[in-house]
Amino acid sequence: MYIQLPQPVAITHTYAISPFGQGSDALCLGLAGEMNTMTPNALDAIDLPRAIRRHQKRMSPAATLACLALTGLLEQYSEPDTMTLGYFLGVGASGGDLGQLHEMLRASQNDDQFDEQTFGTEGLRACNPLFAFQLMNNFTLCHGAILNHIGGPNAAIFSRGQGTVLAMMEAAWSIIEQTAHASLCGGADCAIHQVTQAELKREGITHPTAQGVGLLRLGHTTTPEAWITGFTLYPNQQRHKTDHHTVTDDVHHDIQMPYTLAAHPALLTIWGAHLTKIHPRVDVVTCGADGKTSVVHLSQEPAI
Amino acid sequence: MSSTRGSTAPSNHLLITDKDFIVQRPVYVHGIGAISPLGLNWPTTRDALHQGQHAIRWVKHFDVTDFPSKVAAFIRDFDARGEDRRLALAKRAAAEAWSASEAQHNQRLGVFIGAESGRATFETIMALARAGGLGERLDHSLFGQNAMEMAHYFDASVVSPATVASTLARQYNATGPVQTISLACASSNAAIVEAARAIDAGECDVALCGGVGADVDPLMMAGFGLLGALSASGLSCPFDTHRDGFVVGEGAAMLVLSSSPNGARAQVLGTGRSLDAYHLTKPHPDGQGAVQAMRAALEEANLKHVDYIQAHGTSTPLNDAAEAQAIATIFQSRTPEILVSSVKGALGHWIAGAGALGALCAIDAIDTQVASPTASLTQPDPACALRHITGRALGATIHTALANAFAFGGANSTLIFGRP
Repeated sequence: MYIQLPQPVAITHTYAISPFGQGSDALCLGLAGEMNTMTPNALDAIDLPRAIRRHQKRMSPAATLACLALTGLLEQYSEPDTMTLGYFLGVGASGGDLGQLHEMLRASQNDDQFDEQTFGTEGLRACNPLFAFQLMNNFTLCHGAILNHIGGPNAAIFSRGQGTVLAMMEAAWSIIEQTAHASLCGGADCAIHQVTQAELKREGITHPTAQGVGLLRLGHTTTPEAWITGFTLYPNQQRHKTDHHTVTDDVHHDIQMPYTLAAHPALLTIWGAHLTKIHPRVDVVTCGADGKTSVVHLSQEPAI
Repeated sequence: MSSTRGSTAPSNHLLITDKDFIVQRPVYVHGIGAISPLGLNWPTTRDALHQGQHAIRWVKHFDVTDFPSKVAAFIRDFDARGEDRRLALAKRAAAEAWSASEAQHNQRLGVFIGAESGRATFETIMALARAGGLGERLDHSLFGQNAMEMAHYFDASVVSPATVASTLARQYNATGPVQTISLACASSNAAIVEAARAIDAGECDVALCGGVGADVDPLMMAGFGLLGALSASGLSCPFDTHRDGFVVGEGAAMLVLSSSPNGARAQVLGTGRSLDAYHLTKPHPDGQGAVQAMRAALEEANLKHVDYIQAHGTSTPLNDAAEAQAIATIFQSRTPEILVSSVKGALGHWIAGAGALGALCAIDAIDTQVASPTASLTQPDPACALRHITGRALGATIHTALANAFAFGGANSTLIFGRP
């Protein structure tokens, strides 16, 4: 299904945290083959700002990534009004920190077996009171929004790929329908957890995985990084192969980057926006872990 | 400035005249369906709600003796037959909504569902813990070695939030967008917003939307209980002086939306969304985010006031006071004229499914001209001075109804419905 936007929407700013490091420039250099090293655990290489470190105990790695990227993006320019700024994010599933689950379950045993009554007493005592925060997927979006005072229309869309494209589409519509003066969008995920990797492998996806976040600001400007002209969604496709590539007018770029699940389409769209400096039209094609394929159509000029 | 959805004439086509002017399609509500602790379908549920019944009971299917809260609203007469409970509930409500819909089913369908992750069984969780050695601390290295062998424990259809939307999309041959909104307690209200927007924009012609919550389980009751969010007294009494927290509930509520007015029950007049940007669990004390969402919905609907509000009304001290304050801020001197109730007094808080249940109550009030009461509200809090409906349902002239949903983390979503 091809959805042509009634008017192209400008990508005004971008920010990425990828295996190539912090910032969109690092991502683009890496994808252009100009960087030799990759760090799948991107967070390990980052010295967190104090404001984020203070809240980190409540944050999942994906929420920390999103928060960092949001702060990095907003530092690039002066946002006129964050309270009417939209924010649409593709997020992965939250399942609770295994270390905390471990402590709770260890305390809930009686004769080496899980015991409900012991769970109700000792298990609850061992549980971090903030545990519930980790079980809700929207906190990947909310932590950063609270710290940066973002108050506009919003949605956390569950994503194994296509949800992130839908988040970008919602953001584009928020500009067209004028429900927000500008909107941030993209995806954040932490695909390095052993359970995630095991799950992906079972589904036949053997790509190396990484943490990542890609954020784009959509809004009004005369000098955008690129224009989004439309989207194509293929729902409920069988997975043909989990390839992630960017197609330009005549050039096909295979992507050499570990798989970042919900962050992947956003990171590649940032790369695609960069490529519009060279190629007039760029189609960013991504196939999610669930086999759903999506295309973000980008152009150098606002004409469709 | 937002565009006006309710004022455009019905059209079978999205007309785009130029880049600055978009003629939007009106969006109508056709079928509705629900399964709840008060009934296995919407009419049964609705009748019980009108009578002022509630379904808050002591939890017996797991040991809650030492839990901070020991009650919930759960469905006793429903067997998921081994299927993920969220999915089984959602399928049931969707089937009712679909069969009650006169929308053209052969049109391009989109599916928009509010859902959170499912919960693995304790057997699975214990297996995980054992894989980590069950020592003083989780042994990540050992866990890593064992995780691959354990992959069979993680059935994506059980834990993925997207399972519900994907399954319904396959079942009803959806060829339009398929979305899962995970915005905690605002999920399904926001899913309906997304569905209306997608029809508006011509991305689909018919939308199956709504939400499901199935969180009456030890982990969620422990998690919310430890936060101090659940009622220790075991009462769900929104806006009452005795309220002390919410009660977890479960159920599913679904709607079929379409751009066709034929046979419609109601029309979606306006939608609004905002973020509090204030606190992880507390609403802004003045209800600023709620005001922003309601104001955006009213602007889109081109309305100054509404006849009835199905409030988010969770029965927590902070939410109800902030919501009442927000309603008073918006409607000023007309506040005493507007009927207000919250279905959570009767059915508890369905978390991701709550917004859709509230939407059904608002739609039904327009359809039947009867608004359900807030069960267990006997002594309204002066800090929540609204025109509450108490005891039994109230017949009234209801042209427009507003449904609120506010989430942990600060997301707010508002829908306004009107007569078709």
